[in-house]
Amino acid sequence: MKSFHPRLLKPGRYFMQGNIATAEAALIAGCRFYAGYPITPSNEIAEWMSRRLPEVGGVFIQMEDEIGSIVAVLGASAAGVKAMTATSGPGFSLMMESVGLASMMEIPAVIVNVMRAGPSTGIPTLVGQGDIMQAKWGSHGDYEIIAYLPSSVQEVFDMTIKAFNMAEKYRVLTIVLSDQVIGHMIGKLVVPDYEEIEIIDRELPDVPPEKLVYPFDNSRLIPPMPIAGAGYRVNYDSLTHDERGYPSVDRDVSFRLVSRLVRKIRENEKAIAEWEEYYTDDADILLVAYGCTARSAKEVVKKLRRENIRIGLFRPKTAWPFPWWRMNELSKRVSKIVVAEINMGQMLHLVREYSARDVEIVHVPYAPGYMPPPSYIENIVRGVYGA
Amino acid sequence: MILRIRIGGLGGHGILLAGRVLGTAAIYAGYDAIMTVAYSPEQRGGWSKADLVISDSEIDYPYIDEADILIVTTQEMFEREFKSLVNNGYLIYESSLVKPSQTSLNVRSIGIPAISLAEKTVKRRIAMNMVLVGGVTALSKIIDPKHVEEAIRSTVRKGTEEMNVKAMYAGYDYVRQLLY
Repeated sequence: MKSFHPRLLKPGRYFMQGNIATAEAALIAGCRFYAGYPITPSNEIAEWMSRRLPEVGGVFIQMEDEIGSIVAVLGASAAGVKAMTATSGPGFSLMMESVGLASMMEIPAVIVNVMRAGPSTGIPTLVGQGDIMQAKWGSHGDYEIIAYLPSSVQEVFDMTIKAFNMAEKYRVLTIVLSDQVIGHMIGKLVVPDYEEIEIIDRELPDVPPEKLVYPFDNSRLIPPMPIAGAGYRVNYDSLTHDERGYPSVDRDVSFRLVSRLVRKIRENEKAIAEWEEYYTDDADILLVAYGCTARSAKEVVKKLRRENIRIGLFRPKTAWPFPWWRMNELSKRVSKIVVAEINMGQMLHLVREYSARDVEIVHVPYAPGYMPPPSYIENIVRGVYGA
Repeated sequence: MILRIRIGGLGGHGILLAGRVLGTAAIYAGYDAIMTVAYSPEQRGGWSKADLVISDSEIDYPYIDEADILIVTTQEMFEREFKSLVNNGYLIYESSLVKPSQTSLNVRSIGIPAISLAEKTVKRRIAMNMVLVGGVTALSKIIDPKHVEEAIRSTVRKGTEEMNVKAMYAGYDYVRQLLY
């Protein structure tokens, strides 16, 4: 059985801020290193970690910027410590180069992006959902990441633990796409008994350090990870590398490596992707929403169902991998799809890509720095429905 | 059942702490609760506001634009937020800091001398927010003071639990005597 540090948040019921729940979840997941640079609206995570990490035997560093932060996180993880950083849009943009680096070196790490209104420095204190596409496509080249979309304090807690688990399991960078509303909201949190919380640690080589280990062994989809500093011969390179980690321009080496970086997630997408459905069984109109926006969308479904309007909600809980097969199935059963998000059209592209050809897709663009109130979505749905 | 509580006052009055205590008590009582907060940019002396929603079913949209109970500890927040009170809503105000300049037939007002009650019972004026928490508890009828006591013990700084609990009961008793 795993041992849990006595100073971790105890099982029980809490009324807690989303960002603080994120930090406490990371500690329970085993995170013992945080490097970050202050940015609103993610600051409570860093503030809380700076106080709490030393209490559980971890290390907190405030770095010179976001670029240094993510690279320090990757270094700590390469040395065997679960590590994270938290940021918001502008800092996330600065981290993009190292999103590719983490993917190439297959170093598990977690970035929490508490999304705010953009573009650029936008409105620091207000909400946005404009980083959905950047999370997947922000760095160059072919790679895969995992990204969660929490809708509540409970979910940002659960998903942060899961983000560490998935990062460790797949040797991949995992992103929690929280947002300002979820991060700053104070809500109900139930911490279950520790025995009920699944904690996954990376697979280590099953041979002693003096034996030869291939950290990028292509015969395995997810090769065991030798820890730097534990005596193994470890070479991490951002260049295309062979199974030992040495740079190579060989066409087979390149194709095998890049294929594996992508396949390890794509071949497991059905095990990784998550979503919630609400009244989709007999729905004729399908609302698609996520994060804080899904809270308003759910209220709209509840209200219109009382008027016997056949509406349902599809809420992706992972943006990446996107549950495209379920999107496709649902799109064949409904006549209209309404996509609501706090941007000018991002998940809209995924919905369009995977929906049946003959379904009508309506987008609710929204970018004032606030989450759309239920009435805003309701009016658009009524217009679409003709009621 | 849904209960919307808006608390407004001065930074330093313990507005957010009062909201956290009430929200925690609601969670302990088995309800769903969500609090959103806002404050002015001043580091000191600015206004502070906590909006708390308590419901026996899952709360979706977290924000409120009207309140069933409004608690104010400054004249500024009274003037600003009085209009957000619903018909048949309750206004609770700290009676030495706020003089209601307007009223409505449909609003029931309760002035609580929270600062002097805090001074009298625990010799600490700072506990006036807990006196008001006690007052809301007596008024709301859905939150048990035992849960509020438990919430105070788990929320406030170590060593101040007894003082805060006592102040809360002072407010609770004061409003109960007014009402019943």
